[in-house]
Formats: sequence, structure tokens, C-alpha cells
Amino acid sequence: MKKVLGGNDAVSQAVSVCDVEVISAYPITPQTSIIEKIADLIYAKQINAQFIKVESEHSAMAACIGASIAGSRTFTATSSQGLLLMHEVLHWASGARLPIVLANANRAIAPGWNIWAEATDSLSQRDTGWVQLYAANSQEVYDFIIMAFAVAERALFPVMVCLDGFLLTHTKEPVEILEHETVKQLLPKIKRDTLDPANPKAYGALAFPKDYYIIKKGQHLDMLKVLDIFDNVSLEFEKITNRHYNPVEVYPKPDSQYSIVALGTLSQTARLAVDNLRKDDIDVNLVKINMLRPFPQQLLKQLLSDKKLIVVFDRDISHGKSGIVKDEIAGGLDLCNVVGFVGGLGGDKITESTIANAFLDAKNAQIKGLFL
Amino acid sequence: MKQIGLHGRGGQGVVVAGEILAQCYFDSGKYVQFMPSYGAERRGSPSHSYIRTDNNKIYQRYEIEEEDISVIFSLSVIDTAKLRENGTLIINGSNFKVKEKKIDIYTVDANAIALSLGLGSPAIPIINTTILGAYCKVTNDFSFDILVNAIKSKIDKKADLNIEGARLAYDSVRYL
Repeated sequence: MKKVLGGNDAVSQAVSVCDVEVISAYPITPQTSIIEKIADLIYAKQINAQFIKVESEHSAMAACIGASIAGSRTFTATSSQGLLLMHEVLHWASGARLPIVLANANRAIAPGWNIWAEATDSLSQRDTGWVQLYAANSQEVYDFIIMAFAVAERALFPVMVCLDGFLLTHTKEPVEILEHETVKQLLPKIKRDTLDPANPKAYGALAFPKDYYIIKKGQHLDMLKVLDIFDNVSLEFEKITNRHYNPVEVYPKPDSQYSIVALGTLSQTARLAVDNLRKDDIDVNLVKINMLRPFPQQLLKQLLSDKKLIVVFDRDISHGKSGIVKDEIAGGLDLCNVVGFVGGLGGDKITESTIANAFLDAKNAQIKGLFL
Repeated sequence: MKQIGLHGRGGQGVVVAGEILAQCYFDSGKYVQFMPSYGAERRGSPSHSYIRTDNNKIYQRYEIEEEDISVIFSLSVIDTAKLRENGTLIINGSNFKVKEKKIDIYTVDANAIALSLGLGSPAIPIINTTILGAYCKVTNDFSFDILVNAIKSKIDKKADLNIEGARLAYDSVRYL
């Protein structure tokens, strides 16, 4: 069945069919309508879950950690300053290998105070050991939330699903939604190591260098396996929905001289830029990143290593360096032919002609600077 | 692609009207994208919502730059409309006189209709469903039945009065 849903509606609708048991969250624009709707659904007994009210995002993640260690399927949502306040606890969640799912409404970081779209908030959390998925439309938001629970519980890593503030959270469009019974097939209850009063143990104990090193190495190697786990989940998801997702997607085809790279809603507008450029006989494609962590290195190498030029568009910035996705692509693939543009910060408008013109500047070696 | 802007003030129902309108296009088999204006919206401050509708999937992810149809809930915000040349303007109001015009203008006294049905207060009549009755008649993009169903799906309280408001506006909208 199709419904007209915004990104936030898609999150709460997806959560409602995932048998989530504990939700703890603190409101923040533009995420608030996610947890408002979830609270409504709990009240209407359409979600059989506990909602733990807290006084901050730090406490929200702490409550999710406690609930997840106790064995509950756990969800939270936040944005911007709220995600940053969670920062320390995000590491505790991933280090304890807890399959928590978090929806982050990508919003700019203050100062200046700004509630609009920017991905610097979640991209600056890319080293916290969380799997990160970036959705480009409401359908992907809905699908990624469901897939996130499956990936999280099979991989034993927390998963962050990111959606651009307002451009996605509040923008409504048709979404195919699934029946509760259908989603159940994808999300069987998997037995994992949880708190057991009959067999008490401690979490997060002191680890001396040798032990710590082994733990962290294991965490990294296990994180790399998430790419395969995602593929398996995606195949199962395709069986029930006919929709398939790869960690990286390419439009319209892999073979091309040039590539434009983007994630989130920017990739939607970039698709139109690619269409327009191709109409002018410029051999360019779009590489859209769905998963940033683990970094899909092999897949990206296959898609990007033979290009004349790669142009990356970032709605985020690492001050003193560049756009973060550009840095990931150039550094992660050891490529020298990558040009990056930063734009749309704080929700500023980026159109397909902005993207196409910047691409042409880069192609013609007439770049005027980092900023669009 | 058709691009529509709804412009009014917080409390008039600009955002809900956009949602209902998006539902109407969706129910008539179109692709649709609905964006409310976002900022520190509150009662009385300018409020906008935007709709794109097309036969094909919509990929634009930025605010609308040019409107094919502008729906003006309050004349005080008419300067915020981004109507294209030869576009269509639908205005909530009565007793208009224009010296010359280069666009199609339609008017409907949505305030009077809404107040006669007890929708909203004299300070801020809620005219979202009423003005959509006029929109339905002017554009002929979807049937009145589709509008009725969309109103029912989005409005819990006083749905029948909202439908009546839409019907009165459908019948009374006039070309200026």
C-alpha cells in the first residue's frame, strides 16, 4: 500500500512494524515529529513498547544502552546538537556491540543557530563505531529503518539512519509501506548475550592495553563484515518488497568518463544534473552513497578507479580541510583526481544547475574555490 | 511538472491545505511532493507550503523557484508568491478591482464562507479546506469527490463542515 509520507512519518511508520520494545528520546527540531508520532502510536496501543522519557539526549542514549543490554529491541531519534550531546555514549553503545537503531535528522550545528539541513552532525560521528546509512527520499528512510534493525541484530552493531532535515524529514511523497507480518520475516528475534540476573556480569570493564587492542581490532574487523551482512539483508528485503539496495548505487550506469558523488537528498538533485549533462553529451554518472560506515571501499574502487575526474558534492564541512565525503572518497580510495565542492550549508538551496555548473567548472579546470 | 505555492499566515491552515492538496494529486494517480515552509512558524506569521506534481517521479530537493499556481490565503503576503508569467492566481477575498492584469486571477470569499460555518475565529478564519474547493473548480485537476475524500482523511473534527465550505467555494469562485 502507498501513502503520502514525510521522512519523519516514514521513520515512525517503519518503527511501528519492527516490534520495537524500548524507545528513549529527547525532542529536537526537525526530529521531534518522529517521537511525537511514536508516542501517539504507543498510546493507541499500535506499538507495544516502553517510552522512557529523559532530560537530555545523553540520557536517552544511556537509557537505550541499558534497554539493549537487557535484550530489548531499542530505538531512538535525534538531530544536530542532540546527536553531539550523545557523542560519548555513542561509543559506549558500539563498544558494547548493542544493536540500537537511531534516526538522525541531519541539521546544521550552531553557532549560528540554524535548524535546517546539513550533514556535518552525523558525518562528524562517523568514527563512533556506528553503521551509517544515508537516505535520499522517504521510501529509502522507511526501508533503511527496517533494514537497520536486521543489520544491527545480525552484526551486533548500532545503526544510524540519516535523513536531511526538512528536505526529507518534512517533505512528503508517496511511500510503499509494508505489513507488520511481512516485516516479521526479516526481523526474527535473534538470541544474543544479554543481562541475566541468574548469571551476573559487568559491561565496559577496565581493559589493559593488550586486551583493549584485541577488542578494538575485533570491532574493526567485525565492522567490515557489515558490508556482507547488509547485502544479505538487502537480498531478503528484495524478496519481500522487490526493492534492492546496495551500499553504493550508480545512475544510470557504471561505465562513464566522469562521476559525480553525493549522499542524502543532494544525490536526488544531482541525478537531475547528471541527466542534463548527459543530454549535452557529457559522459558522467552519479555515484550515490547509501552506506558511509563501514566504508564500502571495494565497491567504490570498482566504480571510481577508472574515472578521468570525480566531483564530490558535500552539504557538510570539516573546517580547515574540505567536505567530509570528498575527503572520504579521496583518502579512502587513494585517488588524486577528486574535486570537492561544499554547498547548501544550513539548508541553503542547491539546484541541479548549481551542481551541473560546478561540475563543468571542475571538468574545465576552472574551479573558483571550495564553496558553491 | 506543475508547481504550486500556498501563501498565508499561521493559523489559516496553509500547511494542512498543502497536505490535502498533495493527497488529492496522489489520489488522482500523480507523483507528488509536498514541502511546508520551515522556520519559526507561529500563529499570525507568514506561512507557506509548496507542492510539485508530475506524471514522473520527482527528484528536485529544494524549494520551488517558480509557481504555476499561487494560492493567496491572505493578501498581506501576496508579495511572497513566486508566480510565473501567465500563471494562475487564486485569492481569498472579495470586492476586487484591478486596473489591468496579465495573469488569470480568481477570487473566492473564503473568510466569509469559513466563518459562516464556524471554521476558525473572526480574527483567523481557518480557510484551508474552503479555498481548496475553489482550487478544485479553477484547475479541474481532480474531481470534487477526490477532494472530499482527501479532506475526510486529513480532518478529524468538523469534516462535514469543511466539505461544505469547499462546496460553497467551488460554487462561488469567480474569474476576475
